[in-house]
Amino acid sequence: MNGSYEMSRYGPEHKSQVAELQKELWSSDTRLNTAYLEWKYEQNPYLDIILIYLVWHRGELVAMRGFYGSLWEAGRPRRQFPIYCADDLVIATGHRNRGLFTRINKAAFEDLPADGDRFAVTLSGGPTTVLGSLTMGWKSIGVTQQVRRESSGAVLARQARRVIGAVPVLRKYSRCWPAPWERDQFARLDARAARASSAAGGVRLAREPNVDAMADLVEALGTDGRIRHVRNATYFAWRFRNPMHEYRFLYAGESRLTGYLVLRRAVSDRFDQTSAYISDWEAGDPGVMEELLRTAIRWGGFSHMIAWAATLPDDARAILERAGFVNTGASARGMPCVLVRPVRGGRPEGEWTIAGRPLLDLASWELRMLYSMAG
Amino acid sequence: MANQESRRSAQEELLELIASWDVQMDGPVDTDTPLIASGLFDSLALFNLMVWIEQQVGAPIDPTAVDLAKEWDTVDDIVRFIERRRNRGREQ
Repeated sequence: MNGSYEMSRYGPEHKSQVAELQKELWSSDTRLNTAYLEWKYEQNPYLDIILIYLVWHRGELVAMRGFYGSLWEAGRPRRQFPIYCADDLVIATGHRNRGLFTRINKAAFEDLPADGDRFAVTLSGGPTTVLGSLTMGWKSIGVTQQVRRESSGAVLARQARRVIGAVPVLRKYSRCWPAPWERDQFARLDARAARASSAAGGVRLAREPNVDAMADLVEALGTDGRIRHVRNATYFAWRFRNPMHEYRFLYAGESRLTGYLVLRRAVSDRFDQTSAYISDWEAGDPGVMEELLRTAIRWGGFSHMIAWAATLPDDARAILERAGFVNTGASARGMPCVLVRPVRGGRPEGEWTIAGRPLLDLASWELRMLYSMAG
Repeated sequence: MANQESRRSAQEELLELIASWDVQMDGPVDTDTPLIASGLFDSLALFNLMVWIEQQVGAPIDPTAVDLAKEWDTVDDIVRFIERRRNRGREQ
């Protein structure tokens, strides 16, 4: 590789350069990128150091790889495990195919502080990142199995666009997409929820997370011992401040929640702004789960809704199916998937375990979109 | 004989493609040049490679089920991988 590349760890003096570089990945708005960087790395409750690796070329920042902190639990009784989440890989356009992917990842794993059995995960890597990672000791635990619901209005709009696009003089109109009403996924949800506040079977909508009540519900429901992210008030309070997303919270129950469903939409222009994503969905009773989802669909009238279904219990999968969610079929390439690897190499795969649970077995995990930056 | 010709043709096509991807290698790329082990064959080139392999095989490839560092490291490895996948397809 060209010797004119230099590597360093991130320091506060690099903030504006990172925000500029990340216009290729995060958003075209450097202020939003700065807020995201501060939230994800500086305000992260699980790491008090910032683990971002940078590559420079003649004084210009040309590549970055980040690792943010996360805290997971597994087993019965529960044990907690800090895990690094690898994310935010970007290599500037003119510097790809120069070996920077390999170099930045190799250097990062040599530098990451690792006590004992520390692992790293990649929860929302795109196809190129996944492919590169597979050559560097990462293994897939399985696909996240994205399921999608398309409203009848969205189907009609799609068909109309196709027809219009086939007529040369009208073609430019078919490119007016997304339509303005498709971009603001929460406007209709807010309006209908306000009108229906007292007649929705006890479900209510909020713009802010009730972090204590949500954490109490998670605690009350307990765990089956699978590997999952710790969802306590500290986590929720940090997680829902993500400036790249806007959230809405549907709650069932009164002061003591019986269920919740969290929806998110993208703020960044680099990501799909026309879909509502089910970031988290929790209830002890399948009837409450279904009521939450049905209410979200009824109020939101979303063109598209997306959820992760890989490790959902059967009754939750059935609820999604009844509501019209179908597999996107995107998993033929084994993606999108979650990747894992030990921070220190050389450990046989048979020893990749947490609380005795094999990491490369999807059945060991309880995956939620919330855990990844997709949620 | 036909197999050898087909293999040579696939090797040549892939070598041309790799040249067009502007991968900065240390020297000329041959059929036994380590692409992945060299560390220079980046994630984007890997993605292009996967798309090309899928075209050759005629089906999507799940790379998470492949040991890329072993099975796609050289042009020879890749062509052998394609032959194996084609044969598997014919058997099914």
